[in-house]
Order: sequence, then structure tokens, then C-alpha cells
Amino acid sequence: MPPITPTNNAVENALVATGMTKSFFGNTVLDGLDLTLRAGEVHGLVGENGAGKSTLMKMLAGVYTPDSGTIVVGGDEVSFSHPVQAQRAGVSTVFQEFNLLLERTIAENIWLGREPRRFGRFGPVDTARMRRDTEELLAGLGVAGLKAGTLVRSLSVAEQQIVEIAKAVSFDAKVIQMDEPTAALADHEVELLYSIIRRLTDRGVAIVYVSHRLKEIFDLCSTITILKDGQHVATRPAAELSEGELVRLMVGRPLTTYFPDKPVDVAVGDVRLALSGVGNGYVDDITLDVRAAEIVGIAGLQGSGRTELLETVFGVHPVSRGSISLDGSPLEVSSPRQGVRARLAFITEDRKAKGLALNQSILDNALGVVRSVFPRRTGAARRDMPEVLSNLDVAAHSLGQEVQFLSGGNQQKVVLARWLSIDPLVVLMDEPTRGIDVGAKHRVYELMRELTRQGVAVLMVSSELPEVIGMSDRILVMRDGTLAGELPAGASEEAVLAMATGAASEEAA
Amino acid sequence: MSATTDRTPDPASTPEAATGTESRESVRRRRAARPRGAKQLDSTALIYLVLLGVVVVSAVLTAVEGRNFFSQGNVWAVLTAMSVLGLISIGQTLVILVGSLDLSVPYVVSLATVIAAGGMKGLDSNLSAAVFNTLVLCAVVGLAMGVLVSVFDVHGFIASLGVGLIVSGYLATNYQGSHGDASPALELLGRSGIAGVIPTAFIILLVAAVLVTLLLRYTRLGHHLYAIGGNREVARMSGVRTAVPVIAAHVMCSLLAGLAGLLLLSRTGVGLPTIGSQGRYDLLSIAAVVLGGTLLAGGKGSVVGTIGGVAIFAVIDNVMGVMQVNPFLKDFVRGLVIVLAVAVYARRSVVRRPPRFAGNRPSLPIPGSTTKEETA
Repeated sequence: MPPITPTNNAVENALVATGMTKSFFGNTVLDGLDLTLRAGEVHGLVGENGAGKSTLMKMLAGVYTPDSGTIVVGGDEVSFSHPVQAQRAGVSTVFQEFNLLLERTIAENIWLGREPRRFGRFGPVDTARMRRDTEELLAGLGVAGLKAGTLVRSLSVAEQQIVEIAKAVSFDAKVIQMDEPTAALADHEVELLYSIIRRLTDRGVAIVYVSHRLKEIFDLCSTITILKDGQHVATRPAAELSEGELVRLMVGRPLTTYFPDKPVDVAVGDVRLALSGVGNGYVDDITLDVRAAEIVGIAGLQGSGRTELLETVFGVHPVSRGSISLDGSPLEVSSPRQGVRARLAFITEDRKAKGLALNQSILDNALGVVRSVFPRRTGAARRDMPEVLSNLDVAAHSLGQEVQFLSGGNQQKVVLARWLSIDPLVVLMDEPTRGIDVGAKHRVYELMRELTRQGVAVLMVSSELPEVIGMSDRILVMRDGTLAGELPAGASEEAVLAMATGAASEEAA
Repeated sequence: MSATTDRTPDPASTPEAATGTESRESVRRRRAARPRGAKQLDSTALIYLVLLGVVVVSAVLTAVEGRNFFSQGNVWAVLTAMSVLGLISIGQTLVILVGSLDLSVPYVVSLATVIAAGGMKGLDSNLSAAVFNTLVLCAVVGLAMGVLVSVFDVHGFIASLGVGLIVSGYLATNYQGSHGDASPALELLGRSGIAGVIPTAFIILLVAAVLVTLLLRYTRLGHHLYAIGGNREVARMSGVRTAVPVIAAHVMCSLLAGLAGLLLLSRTGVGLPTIGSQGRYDLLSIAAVVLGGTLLAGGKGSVVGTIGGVAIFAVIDNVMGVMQVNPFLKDFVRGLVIVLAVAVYARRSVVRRPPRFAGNRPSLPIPGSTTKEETA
């Protein structure tokens, strides 16, 4: 499939952004970035998690206001302080999280805030025209089978995305940004999206296409801009880039964090946790094992099913195919409580929403699991907790302090302490160092090593490739809900990323 | 392309598929991803179906007592009972749709009766001025709540609780016992009706219901009420000014409560400072709205459904009155109806993330598939 190239020869610039800079709390996330979009092109925006793609998109969408930099749309300089201003200027964005009202119809969603009216300013809403315009809009995108009056709730994810795109188009957009548009789509739905994008570019709309899937980038884009750590790396015509080169440009930064050495006196033990052909609505055909005193890292893109895999092991999602065993005997968990009873610990990705009761004390949080699942051990745990917490270097005035006033690193240590209190056999970690400082990160890494010294099996999911590579004994890579392959400790970032994106996966394996 | 398509998860081909958990999971899947053709019964239709059932059962029970449910007098009684709670519940529907709540309605109802009765002093010449003053006062109360909710970000529950307490305190300090006197014209309205079956009050209810339904369907304000209740952030991001609809909903709710107070006055003839709280219109109106299929969290619902909810309550109350059920059992039955209804709705509207390996969902046709083949 050849990439889409601008069809009109009069190549005019749909949007020119120069010197886009944004920092949060003194942390520069985007530094002087330039971006030129030609009418009718699909412009790929690639980079690792945290490279600054989302920040750039949100500035162009009017969600963030840039600290400095100028945006020119169709020859006029513009500045946005509200998404609606960006949309009126011709820049629409389809975010990964849809902005749709589930209980309203397709038409009502598309025209929200600018419903057409009959007889002027105080007239009634012209529902007939809304319906007509919506159907015209959908037909223009080549979509058949969607009715303007259908409730958005009853649509599939792909159909909801079409509604978002139709809404973007309805502003007479010159530029449409799409953030990971295929993340939730099945293969045949991706084809539909491609055909819609083709129709849009034929009309001279410029598309900004953000995706982790390099195959799509090469399928669609005529130009590719690569970002890394908030910096502009390169902008090249897609024809001049190979997948390997692109991956090399995306990563290849110096290792900034040091990982504690693997203890020499610890030998990997017997198989502790084993999954065989495990599958359900979220993951499929997962076969893996984790041995005692072993750290297994799971890499993969956002949405590849990593979190869902851990959740499935822990009993959040039921297992519908295959089996799980722990220390050789079958493990059947159908709720997190049973997971805890089997002495599995699960450090969740989002500690504020799923890990901690923010307005309760450190002690209450740390005892939370033991108290509810092993109430008879609460006394002992309460006695030991001060020592556990000080071993983890938790910095706090007292154990009675509310965890919401702790730093991210200290909050994460409280989460760790609460799971240590059940003497886990297996520790499932989802992004264990997300949003915490370097010192706390190092402490978490040390703790992982200490756990292996005690014979605990650790299964860790992380989006930070250096972390996965530096800490794991083995690396498993997930893609589209299944295991894409396994890599040994110390594999290169390129190899992991290539396998996760499906770029030349056979060679890398 | 081949790298991603050679993986074909086919649950049927794996021998492990035939386990007990599989069937449970697949049932859940079928529920989550039901085909669009087989539409579920619309919730409004469901309510009126339930209403029909309730009417039939009531008619039978009334007949067992040796009376006729459909007698002129009884129909009149049911429709009269509906009109006051109905008006209040229409207002409550608006407030709940926008994502707020109004607990002050019983006190506004009481306030309306004493202010209007006090202003009329039994004279028709004072009627229009008294009605006007009463409604303006009610609108001001609603305005205060709307501003608290939208501008000061106080939750509707607390804002209306506070304002309700203030109004109730004002009533308790300034009015003991009955107050004022309704004008004869208003009292005549309370007794009038069509053919001795349909009271004028009920016609007023129907007019209000139609007007509010039109408002919700055919004005931007109405559309934005739904949008804000559904997701305030989405509405804001779409350029909706979120304060205006919230305030408008609260003002309309208080106005309708005031109107309900006037209807009550037309029957009692005197203003009563505790008539609203005795009627427990706060909780009953919320219950009627929820029974009518409106989401308590806002964003979904209709006045038509609410009227159905009110009618169910009115019929049940009526038949229990005929059967001389003791008051505690009455509350028990009402409570049971509410809890059952909410439990049914909760089951119907379970939302799930669409599963990745969900089997073969009917898919959209891919347009331009011929051009795809050409390029491939």
C-alpha cells in the first residue's frame, strides 16, 4: 500500500508552527519545536512515551497554551485559549479519549454547542437539518450504515471514532490531528479508517497522525517528524526512511538511570507462576512462566494488553481459556480477594485511583490489604510496619499523616509496604516507577532485588524501556493482546521496540 | 500486513474452551455486545408497560373491595393526586438531567401557598398580583440555587438543602398555622374540570409537560441541559457555556414547584407553611424522576418517563387508600417500587469496555474496497 501523497500540486501549507515550547512546573516537555503541515498530506508524529507528541497536539488543539511559539493556519497567525477556537480556525483533534456524550445521538454530538436553529437567534433547534447535515457528513466520509439518530452508546469503538472524525470535519477543518486512532480498532476497522483518511486528504485536509505502530506510519504518511525527550530529532519524507532507521532515531539515548546489580548469590529457582494458553476478552493465548527469584519484564505499547494481563492473573478479569498455576498447583482466582489469598501482590499502574485511599493515614493505607484479607495477622503487621516503612526510607512526619500530602515516591513506597505485609509469593508490578523521583526509583529497584533474594517471583510491566532492560532477567514483549516474543536480559531498546511495534519482528526475535 | 494477520485467536479450536467459566464469560459478552438490530425495550415504553400492569392490578384489587377503579370520582382523585407531584417532578427532571438535585421543593411549595394566600386575602382583585409575586419569589429562590451550583461549584444536594432549610426556617418563624385566604376564582379552578373526570389541575400538568418536552427537544438550552448532565467537561470543550443551563434548570424547577403550590392552594383555600414537607415532595419527586427512567447522575431521561413514574405512584397510593392499608405498609410498598425500579435500570445499563477478542461482531462495510484492491 503506497503512502498517501498530496494530490494537488499547488502545495500550500495548511499549518506552520514554529518554536513551540511548553514546560510544566519548570520541567520542559517540549523545546522549540517546528512543524509544517502541507495541505493534503498525512504527517506522522512519532516518538517514545513522553517524547512530547501529546503536548504538541494539545497545544495545536487549544487545550494547552504554549509558553512561546507561533501558529499560523492558512496564512493567518492564530492563538488558542480554548479548543473551540482551534476548531473554528480549522484545527480539529480526535483524542484517544473520545469526547462524546454516550446518551445522545450522533447528530446531537456532532453539532453540540452550535445546533442549527430555524427562524434566527431565538428559534427552535432545526433537528431535521441536523439530521440531514450529519448524514451528508457521514456520506462524505464514505460511511454507510450509521444513522444520525443512533445513540452513541450503542456504537462500537470504531463507529464512535468515526463520529469523532465527522465532528472534526464538520468544523470545516484544514488540519485534523489523530492521536493513536487505531489503538482500539480491529484490523478490518483500520482499513475503514484508512479509507476515511484518504478521502480527507483528497479534499486537501492535512492529517497529523500519531501512532506507535510503525507499519501504519509507513502505510499512511508522506512525511514523518520524530520527537525525543521534547526535542525535534528529524523531519523526513517517509520514502527516505526505513523502519530500522526510524526506530534508531526514536531511541538511542544515553542510559540515565543506574540499576542495582543482580545479586550474584541468588540462583533462579523453580517455576513459581505459570500461565498456559490463558485468554479472555482482553488478552489471548498467553503462555509464560516466572521462576522464584526471577524478575520478568513485560514490554509493549500502551494498549497492548500488558495491564490486562496482570489484572487477569490477579483475578480482576476472569480467565476463559487456558490455566494458571502457582508453585505447581492450579490457581483459580475469580476476584482480587482470592488473588491476595493466594499471596499475589499487585502494584497498580494508577496508585491514586487504585492503590491508595488518599485521605487516609499512611498506617491505614499500609495495613489496608492485611486488615481486610488476613485480619488475624493485622496485629503483627501493625507491629512490624514502622520498621518496614523506615526500611523503605518513607519520609513523613508520622504514620498518621494522610498519604495525599506525600510525594509520589513516598506514596509508592506506602503501596509497596502494604503488599509486603502479606509476604507475597509473586509480585505483579504495573509501571512501578511512574511519576516518582530518581531516588525513589532507585529504592524501588533495590527492593525488587531484595524480593528476589527472598525467592519472590516478580512480573513487571513498564513503558520505560531502560527499566525493563536493566532490571529484568528475561523480557517478554506484548502486542495486540498476545505475546509477540521473548528477549534475553540486556536486549537493545531497538530490538524491544521493533518487536512491540511489529516492525520486522521475525528478524529481531 | 502478514506480521499482524497470521495470528487468529479462535476460541473454538482450543480444547480448553469448553470450561464452565467460558460459558459465563460468553453470556457476559453477548450482553455487552448485543447486535443493534435487536433493540432493547425503550425505557419509556417499559415504564408505561409497568404503569399498565399497575393499573390492571389496582383495578382488580379495587373490584375485590367492591368498588370501581374507573369510576368518575376515582379517576378524578388519581389525576388530582398526580398534578401536584407531577409539576414538581417535571422541575426535578430538569434539575437532575443537568446533573444537579433539588431538595428545596417542599419548602418552595409551602412558601408559594402562604405568600399567594397572604397576597390574595380572599379577593379576586388581588389574584394576578399575588400569583405574579409568588412566582417571582420562587424564581429568585431557584436563581440562588442555580448560582450556588454553577458559579460557586456547590453540589446541588448541598446547595438546595441549605436554601431549603433557610426557606423552612423563614416559614417556621413567620407563619404559625394557616395563613391568608385563596381568592374564589382560584378555588373555583381547584374544583373545575372536564366532564367531572379530568381536573383542570391535570390539564395544567399536561401543558407544562408538553412545553418542557418541547424545550428539551427543540431548544439549544434543552440540548445543553443533556450535554452538561452527560459530561460537563465534554460540553465545556464543545463551547457550551455551562453556567446558563444549570441556572435555568434550577429557576424552572422552583417556578414549577411554585405553580404546584398554587394548585395546592386552590384546593386547601388557605396557605399552609408545612404542606410541602408533609407531602414529602423532595424525596417523592426524586423517586418519580428515577422511576421514570432518568439517570440520577444526569444526561439521560425524559419528562414523558417522569409523568409515567408519577402516575405509578398515584395509582399505587390510590389503591392502597381504597384498601385502607396502614400508612407504614404504604411506605413499604413505595420503597419497594423505587428499589426494584432502580435495580432493574442498573442491570440494563451496564457499560463495559468492548472486549478485544469478542468474536465476530457484525462490522461496518468498508467503503471503496475496490480502490483498496487496486492499490494493494
